[in-house]
Amino acid sequence: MPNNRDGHPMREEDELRAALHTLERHAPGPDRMLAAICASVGSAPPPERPRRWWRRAADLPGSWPGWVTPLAAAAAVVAVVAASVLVAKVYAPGRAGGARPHRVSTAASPFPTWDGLPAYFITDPGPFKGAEPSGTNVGGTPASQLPRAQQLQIIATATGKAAATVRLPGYVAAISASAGAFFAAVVKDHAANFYEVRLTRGGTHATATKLPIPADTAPIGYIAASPDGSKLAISTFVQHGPFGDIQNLVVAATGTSAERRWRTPARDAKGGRSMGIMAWLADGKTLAFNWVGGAQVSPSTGLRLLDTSAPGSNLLSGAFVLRGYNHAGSFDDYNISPDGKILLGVVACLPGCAPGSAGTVRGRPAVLGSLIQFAAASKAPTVRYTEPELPGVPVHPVNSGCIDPMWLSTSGHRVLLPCFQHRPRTPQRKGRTFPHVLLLDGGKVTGLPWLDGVVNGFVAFPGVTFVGGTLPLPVNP
Amino acid sequence: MTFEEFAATRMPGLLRFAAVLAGDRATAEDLAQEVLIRAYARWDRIGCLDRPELYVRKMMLNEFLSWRRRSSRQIPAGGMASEPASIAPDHAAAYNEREALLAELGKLPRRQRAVLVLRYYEDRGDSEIADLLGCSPGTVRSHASRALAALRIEMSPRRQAHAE
Repeated sequence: MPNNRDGHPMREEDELRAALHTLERHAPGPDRMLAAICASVGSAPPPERPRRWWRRAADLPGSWPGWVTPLAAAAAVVAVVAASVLVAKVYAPGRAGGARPHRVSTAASPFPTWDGLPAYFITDPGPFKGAEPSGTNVGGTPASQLPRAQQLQIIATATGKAAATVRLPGYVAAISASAGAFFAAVVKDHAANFYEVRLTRGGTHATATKLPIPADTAPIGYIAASPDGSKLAISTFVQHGPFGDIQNLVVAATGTSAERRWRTPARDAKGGRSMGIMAWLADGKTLAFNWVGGAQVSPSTGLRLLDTSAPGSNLLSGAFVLRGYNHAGSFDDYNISPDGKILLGVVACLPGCAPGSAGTVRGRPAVLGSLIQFAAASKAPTVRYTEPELPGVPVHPVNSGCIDPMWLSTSGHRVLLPCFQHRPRTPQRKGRTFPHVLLLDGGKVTGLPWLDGVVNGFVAFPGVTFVGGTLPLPVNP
Repeated sequence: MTFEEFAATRMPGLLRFAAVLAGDRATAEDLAQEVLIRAYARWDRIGCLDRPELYVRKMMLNEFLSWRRRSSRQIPAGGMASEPASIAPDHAAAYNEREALLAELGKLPRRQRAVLVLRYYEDRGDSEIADLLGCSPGTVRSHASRALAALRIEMSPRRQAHAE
């Protein structure tokens, strides 16, 4: 890099170009701006343009008789109203409580790929986790402050920019993606309805269609779309006697109103046991879900599989794959590759976040925040990635690490992994945590800096829903 | 074009332009809001133009240039040189460099900043920028050259030849 006359290194024009583009993140939301405009002018409708053409046409020599123009205008009004009604029926994101739900006809074709990754994903920048349709509080937010409608952005993986946005008629409680479409649980009027969002017009627009799944009044935990988008797994909380909320699972067909339900067995329905993130295996019938058995170190905490084609309604009737607290450390949750052969987990702090490692991988302490891969059959662990520690920065308990994978390929060979590095506060500057997104391709690690900004929200790639927004903060910020 | 059509198709781009021009969310909101409310009130005239978004963009630019108050930026910058050299791949360094550049950009006079935004964000030519700012192309080049020197940005040889 050349230096200027004072000996300072010179920057390039492209750096300025890139820096300016990062400022787009400060752009105000169009909805918010429109609301401000309406408020400032007392919600008056926008002034109409003077319609001089009407009078002029009538005055023109040789024009049609005077009675034709009003008749044509009336016909045009009728046509516009009819067309609006038709368009509203076909494209409108549905209205909660509508009498006749739309039927989603065909499975969406899979998304195109970019460098082997799905070319699009959906983000929910302001997630209302733990939404409670039947209650007044959602994530501690008073109902009066909840947005009445919420926009989701569909992001192009190649650029990190929004390819399309879709406005939904309530606040979004959960998102997911199949191989070719996105799904959202949307809460309005104390009921959750479910929408399919498809990209249209070459990936520049998105339309939302209300699914015929019966509305649910229980609080929504997570949703997971099957690879072909024909089924949606929905985890909900239900009140269960004196033990508080327990978990219910619904698997609903997205094209009809058919659904099946599973419940937590009564003996397990106590002590805050709940389902975490879930995902379908490639066979389209096995659902993998993380189960928190009351505590992080509880023997029943871990990854479970449920064969949704088998009879029965016991949520815990399937196979238990791996404990959350095991020989390689402590893991809050796991992602399983769609072929079911490997599990990926990030080494988490034990309760109290004690320094040091909770387990070992091949005789060496597993570093907090590193990504560990387990063979599903043998449970043998391998360190897949460890974020470098920052030299000169205190490491108590961690100054760098990773979160959960945002996406993984069918075999788990390729993983999109958000990690972070933390710089502590110094007298000269504030402490900050820097998230960044890496693509692990076997042993090769590549940064995708244009995706760094999405780490703070919910992200749904086909097969994986990533819950962001809560970067691990160091003890000494 | 009705205001609704304008809002649906052109507003997101304008809001991004406001954000890049202003440099932070609060100022961008103020800037966009002031201009859009004024544009809304005069929409009967603006809506008749061939490209109303260009007119609104120019309004935004004029508003930005006429503002006397300065936003106080809160970007943590500097202090990197005193740190020990990193042996690990340091993703944070790239962020800090970008943030430092943005902080320096925020200190530029508004007209110089506007020239850089129009040239490097909007990819407009110097004569087009001159039209928008109501000055000569030579003045645009002079603003750009001073701003780039302040930011320690090396002009590409092609552009340098053009400037000379």
